[in-house]
Amino acid sequence: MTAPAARQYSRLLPDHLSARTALSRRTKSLIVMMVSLTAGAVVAFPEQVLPVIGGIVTFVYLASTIDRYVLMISGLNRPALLEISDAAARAIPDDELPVYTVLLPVYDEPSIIENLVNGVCRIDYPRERLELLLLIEEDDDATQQALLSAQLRDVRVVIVPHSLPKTKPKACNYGMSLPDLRGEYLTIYDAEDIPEPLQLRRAVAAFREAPADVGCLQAQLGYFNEQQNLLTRWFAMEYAQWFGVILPAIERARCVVPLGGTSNHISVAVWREVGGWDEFNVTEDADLGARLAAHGYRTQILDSVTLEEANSDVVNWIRQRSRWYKGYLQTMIVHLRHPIEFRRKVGTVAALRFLNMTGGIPATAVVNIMFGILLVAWTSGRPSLVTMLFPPIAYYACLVLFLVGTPLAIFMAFVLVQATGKPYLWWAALLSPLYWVLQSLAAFKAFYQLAFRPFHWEKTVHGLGHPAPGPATETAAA
Amino acid sequence: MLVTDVLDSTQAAKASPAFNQNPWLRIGCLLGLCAVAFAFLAVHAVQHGVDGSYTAYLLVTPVLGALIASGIRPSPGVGDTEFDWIVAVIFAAAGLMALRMLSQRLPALSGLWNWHHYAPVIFAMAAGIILFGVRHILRLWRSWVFALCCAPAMPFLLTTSRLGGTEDDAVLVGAGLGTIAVYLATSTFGTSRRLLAAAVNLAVALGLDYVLGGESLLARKVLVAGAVPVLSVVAIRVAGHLRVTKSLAAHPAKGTAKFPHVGTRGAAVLVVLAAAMLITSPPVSSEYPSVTADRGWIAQLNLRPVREFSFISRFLGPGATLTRYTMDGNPAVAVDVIAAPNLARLNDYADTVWYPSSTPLNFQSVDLGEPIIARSAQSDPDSTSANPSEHWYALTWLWRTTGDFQRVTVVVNQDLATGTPPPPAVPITWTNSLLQPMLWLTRQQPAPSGIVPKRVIRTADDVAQQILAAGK
Repeated sequence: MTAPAARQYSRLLPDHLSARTALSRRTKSLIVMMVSLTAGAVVAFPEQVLPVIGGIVTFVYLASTIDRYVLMISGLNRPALLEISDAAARAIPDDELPVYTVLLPVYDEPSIIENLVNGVCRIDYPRERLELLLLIEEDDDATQQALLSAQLRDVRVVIVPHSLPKTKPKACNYGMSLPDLRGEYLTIYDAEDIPEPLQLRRAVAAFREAPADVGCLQAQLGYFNEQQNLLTRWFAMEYAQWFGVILPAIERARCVVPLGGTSNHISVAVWREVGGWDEFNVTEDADLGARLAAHGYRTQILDSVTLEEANSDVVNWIRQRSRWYKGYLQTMIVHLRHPIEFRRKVGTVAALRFLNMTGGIPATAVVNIMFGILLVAWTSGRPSLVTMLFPPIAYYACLVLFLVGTPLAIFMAFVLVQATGKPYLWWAALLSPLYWVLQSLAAFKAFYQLAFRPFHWEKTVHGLGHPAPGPATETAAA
Repeated sequence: MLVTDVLDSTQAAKASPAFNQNPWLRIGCLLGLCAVAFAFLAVHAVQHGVDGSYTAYLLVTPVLGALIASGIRPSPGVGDTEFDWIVAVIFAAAGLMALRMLSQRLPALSGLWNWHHYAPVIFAMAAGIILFGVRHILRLWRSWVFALCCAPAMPFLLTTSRLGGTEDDAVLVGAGLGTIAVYLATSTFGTSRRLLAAAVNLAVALGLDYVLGGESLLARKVLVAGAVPVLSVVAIRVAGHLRVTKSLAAHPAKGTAKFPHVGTRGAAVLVVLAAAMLITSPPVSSEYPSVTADRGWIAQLNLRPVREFSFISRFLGPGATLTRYTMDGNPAVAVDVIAAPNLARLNDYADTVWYPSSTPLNFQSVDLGEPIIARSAQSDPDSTSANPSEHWYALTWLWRTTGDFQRVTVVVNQDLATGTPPPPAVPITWTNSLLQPMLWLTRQQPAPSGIVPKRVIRTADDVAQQILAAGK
């Protein structure tokens, strides 16, 4: 067990690329002033200002929706996963394999031992070339107690000294700062993850075959308890869409790929070059994806699945999702500080799509519920406010979105579950509008926390799902 | 600096005193908040009940709702205070906004179905989310369904009218309501035991009502719909608790779920919101006749009774009558008089339009001179109808005579030239008082804008003035 180091490790990331200063008091004051001015203008000139606001929101919402459909259709038509066969993965002799650093950040996970044995410890990779770092917070007594009696031969336990912010990227950065690491590549898994056993070998083989500008490989994420309840089915459907269709389509379009929380494989040299993880960003993965793109690196999607535990509890799901949305907003704000420079680095389409895939997601989720409330208001009382908000063009655009977009989204979900080999999720697809409501509530929480608790890491409670299956057969590559 | 902010807020939350975990205390706080927020409504309900309204059961509904809720224990699971607040705010804002808009758009329908009674339910659900958490509030769905069904009062009134409309019928329906509450409040027991408890409750309630009897409808309702169900549930829970205690002694529980932490600041916000609801709520009052008319006004005007609508006694109780009178020389005009000995029951149907219409109608104030408070309503002459001469215009007001209260309505056929009498009054049903208006609402039709011929309005006004003169 590595004791907490007294030294203060140095952060790789400069302040201007960190979410630490994303919303300064000055920025907040500016936002409050702009909102106040807009509200004042609405009160003073409602007939002029409200149609403009309604028109802008509708146009942006429509553009965002169309872009997502374009990506989804593109991803369904031309799958762009990077496939490495089992034979190719095993073809590399053990002594030619690079040292791989695997980070396992945990917090308050007393069932860690069973999870590790079932999951990460079954990775097919020579043990002498594998550095498994179990990162435990100094104040996490429950996990430390659980480890006292454990005999984990291949796992190095690292105690992360207490400091703020207490986030997963902070723990990972600390792990990577240890002086004696030998890893050439690194990846992160959650404690309960069950990676496909050949995933590291596939990643090494893929890096060897890939062009030099491929800096990262993102493995697909799936769930071992996806049929536990309606929520896990929705979640599984969403993940299948995100990792199986959307992200590959984004990559093929040479846009910015927001990385998933785990199973992203990256060369340590590249990781250092782009500045490591932002400890103040609660979706450090999405942020890292943006910085990779800004440095000219591509991220490809590896056809290998890591099974996770889908959140089966609605409130727990809201907490997790709100953290993701808050992180997306942080990421967008950080990279919009110098929008022209960012656009120059990644291109106009990629920059706009990046906005849509980060801050655009919680923003449209909030707009969704606002539109819903306006629909209720219109049905109930036909208030003049709604009439003013929706001039004819905006009205018809919203009408099409509602009457055509909603059934189309459900239809696309049907197509998606069929295309991704999960036809049993059909009724989750049918009920997906209810999932949008949950997303909207999570988005509200994300905006609130961004303003008042920007660096708070909303811990996801694990172990609420069905027990993880044995990995021998279930974790084969999809 | 922002990290410090996070620390400060976390520590503040932990430092604030935790709200007691006792469910009854929290239920009491919730009822107290609702009582403050809707004090006007509560006072009016009490007054209305004392006056003999059939809706007196509303007084025990909160108790029955709480009784049902108290049977459900919190379930283990992840909680989140921020999420609770977000859901509560969105739910309350959207719910109260929709309620207000609907009431403004369809005031007569809103008054008939007492949509304003939904405001306390919405407020209770929102405040309950803060006190109990979203998860527990969803688990209390039985309480909310019960409250939502009871709040409008009209289902109760329609059921009573189907049974015959007497006080005994109203008491029977009240006993049925209490029985349903007993069944719902014992959900932790097996179905057979719950059915048995419900049956025993019904028998005891009706038996006690038969034995104790009494003149006061309010007292009888409080007995059969409130006191007996509460005692029934307490009895079955005490009996069940003894068994559970023995069982727990053998197999102690591993742990119990908790209600969310409510700090001082959260509690203060709830109190302020309740006070704000009180301040912004208009006082609720029933229509009270400001004029006492001469009992002989009908004879003085030489009105001829042409039809009795016997259905009215099923709604307003025994002794109530609805009589149609005609005036010589003008067959297109009729005067309908609802006479009832009890004002509260008459006011239960104050917003009822007793004439057929394909669209939901609203009343407009009409000036017939002080101190009469009159209202008018009309069917939409532009709406499609198999018989265009069925469209009508009505002018109505309430006054009292020695012995009873009268709602006088002058009804004029909008097609005066044909001399066709206006359509007869029709009893209200689920279909014409709720289903059809709701379907109309979902079709998003514009508000009826047809203009009634001035001659028709003038005719009704003339007749009304004659009646008022005769009544003085």
